[in-house]
Amino acid sequence: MLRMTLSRLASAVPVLILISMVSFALLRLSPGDPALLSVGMEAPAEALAKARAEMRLDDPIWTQYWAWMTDMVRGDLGTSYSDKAPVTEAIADRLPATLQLAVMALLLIVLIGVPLGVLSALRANRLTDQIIRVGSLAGISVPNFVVALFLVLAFGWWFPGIMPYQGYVALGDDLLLSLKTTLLPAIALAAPQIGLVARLTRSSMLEVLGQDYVSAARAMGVRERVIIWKDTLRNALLPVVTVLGVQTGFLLGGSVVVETVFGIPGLGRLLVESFTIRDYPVTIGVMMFIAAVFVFINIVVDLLYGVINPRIRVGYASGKE
Amino acid sequence: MSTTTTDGATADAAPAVPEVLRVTGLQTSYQFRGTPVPAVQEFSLSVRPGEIVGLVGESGSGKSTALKSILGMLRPPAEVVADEIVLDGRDLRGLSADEARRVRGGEMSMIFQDPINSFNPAWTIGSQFRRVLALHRPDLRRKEYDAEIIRLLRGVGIDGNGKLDSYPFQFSQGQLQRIMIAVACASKDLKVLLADEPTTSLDVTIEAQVLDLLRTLRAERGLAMVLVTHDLSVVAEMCDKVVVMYAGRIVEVADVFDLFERPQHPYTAQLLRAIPGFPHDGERLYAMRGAVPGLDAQIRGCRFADRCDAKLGSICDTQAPDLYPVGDQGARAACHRVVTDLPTPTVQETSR
Amino acid sequence: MSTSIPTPPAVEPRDPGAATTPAPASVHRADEVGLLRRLASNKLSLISLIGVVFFLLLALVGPFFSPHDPAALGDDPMAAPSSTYWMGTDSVGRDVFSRFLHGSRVSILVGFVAVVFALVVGTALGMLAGMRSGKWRDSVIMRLMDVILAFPLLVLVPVITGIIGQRDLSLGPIPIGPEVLVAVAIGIVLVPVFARIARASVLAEMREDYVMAVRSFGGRSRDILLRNLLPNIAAPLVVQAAFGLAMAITVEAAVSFLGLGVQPPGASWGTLLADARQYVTLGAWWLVVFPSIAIALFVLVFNLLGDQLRDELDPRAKTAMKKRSGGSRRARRGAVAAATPERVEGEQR
Repeated sequence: MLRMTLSRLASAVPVLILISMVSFALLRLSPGDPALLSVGMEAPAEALAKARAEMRLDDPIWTQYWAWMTDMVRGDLGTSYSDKAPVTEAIADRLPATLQLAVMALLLIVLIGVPLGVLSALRANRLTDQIIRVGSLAGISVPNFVVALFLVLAFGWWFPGIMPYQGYVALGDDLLLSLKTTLLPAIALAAPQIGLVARLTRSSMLEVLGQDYVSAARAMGVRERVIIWKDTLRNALLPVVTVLGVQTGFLLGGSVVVETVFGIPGLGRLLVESFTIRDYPVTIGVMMFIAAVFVFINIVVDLLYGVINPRIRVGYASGKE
Repeated sequence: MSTTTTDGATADAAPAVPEVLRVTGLQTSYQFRGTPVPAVQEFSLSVRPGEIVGLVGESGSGKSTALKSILGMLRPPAEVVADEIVLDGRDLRGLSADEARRVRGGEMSMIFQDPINSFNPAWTIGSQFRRVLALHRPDLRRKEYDAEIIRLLRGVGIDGNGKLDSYPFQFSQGQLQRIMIAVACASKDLKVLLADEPTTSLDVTIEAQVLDLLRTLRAERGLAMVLVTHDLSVVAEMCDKVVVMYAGRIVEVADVFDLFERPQHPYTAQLLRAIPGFPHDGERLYAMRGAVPGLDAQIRGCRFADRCDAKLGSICDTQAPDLYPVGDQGARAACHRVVTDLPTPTVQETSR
Repeated sequence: MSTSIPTPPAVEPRDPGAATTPAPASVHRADEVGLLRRLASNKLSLISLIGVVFFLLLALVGPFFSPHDPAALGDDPMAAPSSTYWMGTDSVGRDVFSRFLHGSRVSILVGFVAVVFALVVGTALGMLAGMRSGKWRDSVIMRLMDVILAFPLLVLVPVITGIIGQRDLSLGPIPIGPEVLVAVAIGIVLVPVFARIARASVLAEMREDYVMAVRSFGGRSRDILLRNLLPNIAAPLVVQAAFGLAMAITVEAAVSFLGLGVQPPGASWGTLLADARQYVTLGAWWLVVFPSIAIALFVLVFNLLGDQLRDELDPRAKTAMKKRSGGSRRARRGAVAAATPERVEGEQR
């Protein structure tokens, strides 16, 4: 297990390096002179030259990248053009809201999507199943920001005063209110994914239910309830876990729109705000941060998969099927 | 009439011993795109204690379906009806779902074709074994389980010490099939073992071990077995009685000796001809033309008429033959030739 | 059997070859001609085909039917839908219906351009990687794809648009408009999806005997790629293109909604929603509802189409279905299928 963890982590290094290179390229290719953007249009020529020197803009591009990269490894993601604050500070500031949103959405996805899929598979081709399938297809088709707009329309105009639909209260300030402020955004974020997970769980369950070991368990008189919960679900959830992992990454990115609609001061909002005022160090710093998180989530999922799947955990590596 | 005469070759065929399993009038249909399609029709079977009955036919002839129907493993939308399914004097049709479940693995159990897929890949062998003991061995206490498992595994030639926490993929196919047999025979009340092509996916050498094990079980515990196979050499080696199925129906029932010597149904005869001889006799191997008709095919006459080498004529295309008795030993064949006085040409042509 | 339904062929003669081999190269089975007809014979496919035609017409001729000038400021702002303004008016009195018709064209156009770009570039990259699997070229291409997927795409799109839009680009005499820039940026973001599928398909096909055969005759890799592989990996890519269109439309709408995509005064489904955003809590439902329905329907139609195409086209999905006769997938090809025992049994579970 430890060896597996280390090897997975090691395999992430080239991807992380590539992420940093692409980020740097995006930063440098983005329109505008960084020094000019940094000191402002009206700054005197000496200030501009000083800034250029400070930012090593006249050095060869590889030297620039190396300096930038070593800064990054030390935890310095650069400085905002607009308020001259370190990007890491901005991230630390905005991360909690996004994290809370993502975790809540993930909970909704797992707690609603998986049971719906299981129910659908157990009632295959009957009315319940058909309703769930149509519902999940519809859910997949409605993008999260559309759901968000309708939630705002519903709770802001049709039934006002039931749920807060704008703004965010930190967890530490008021636990209940905080959860309330993130509930609607989490629903919007989760809705399409619930459909996806329900569909996936259904097909995966059906596949496992058709396996010989389910027949064998039945032939040995094992109770149907036990067959479903112990034999089937665990194996059926293997592919679901993989997809959930990938989705967690997308939840971070997907929160961009939802946070904007609901006015939640999270990473997504920071991305949009910084890009709108062309504060590239912030935009690209946050993008890079999210990309790195995405990579790590995938590693965690891989490892988790190993925990669930004994064949990987026991580390049996022979050609046998 | 055919050539079957008095035949005392099968010693244990004393009709006085009551059957442990008797099935009559079994019909199973599946739902296929909303319409029921019969997979097994007018199936009947009787097995005495200690008897091994072979169930033979090409893939798709309904053998496995028949077994699963008998064990009560099919659930809606599949539909199983029967005149009787009597296990040891008790008709299983009247049982509640819970009682039927307790019969499975208790008095009658089943082993499957692919031993690797017969075990849940996510659980250890020990935990899967213990679960069955918990269901069918009320005489044991929880802490006695492991010792019993080791004992049962020794019975199938596997040293289980230290292997109970291993996962299925850590065993070989042959080992897994033997473990499966041990699991299936864990109950003390076991009377009938249904084996669905238990050796088809195994290597030839391992096949012999598994068959040997089944024979030992029969001898030691007096188990009755129904052995589904499409391998006639396995039938010859293992079985006392043979039921031949074609396209969901029984076409011939016979004593194993008679079946190979004097097949009554052209299908049986053609099956026998299709076995490669060893050593090779230099002749070209016989291959049956055509394929088993689809279950939803509407056939008025004999289902085998299309592929039959000994077709009588139009009667085969227009009238379905009954399962006529042959001789007085309980043998039967579903062929018009049995009731006409014509000799069965296929017998001479095909016996080698 | 007692039922005597007069069906002429008593036993369906099954061609043993066709029945047993799932035909890896089954795109060649000469039934492409009948694809449209087969799709039309299935209820779900028919619905999705009708939807596709509807959206194509909407994009092509929709703007000609706009009752008002989409940019003209009217004197009746924030009017609810009426006989004059079918979808109401927005905050500056523009006719939402006319803007919707023009916006539909932009959205759908952006979607198609993005998918075509992603399909071409992604297929090329994926094939290049797959042909040299395990070599550095493969690693570099595929890791780059991973990196693109790792970035939050809703911000990656405007960043890319910003970069490629620094100079006035033109395609010969035709200047490339800002909408096309957005489309290309979305296309770039979607490239990994196609590259992965193309690579996986190439890897699978390379193991097929026919590639071995061509190789054993000394065929060159370029010929193998273009003549032999491309037709055979086309099916999953076409299927993905349908899903890709749904994705592209969603991305465009989201990016434009954020104000980072198609810029005002140009209209697209996303900008329509962006305009609506401030007025949602004032009860201007008509600003939200119509573009939302359009987006959801478009995504639904193309997801359905993708599902149906996959059932019809993708040999691998079909092979998988046959292999597990354990039947998780429903066999939907009604007309031809005979109720073989395996299949019937498979459908039970």
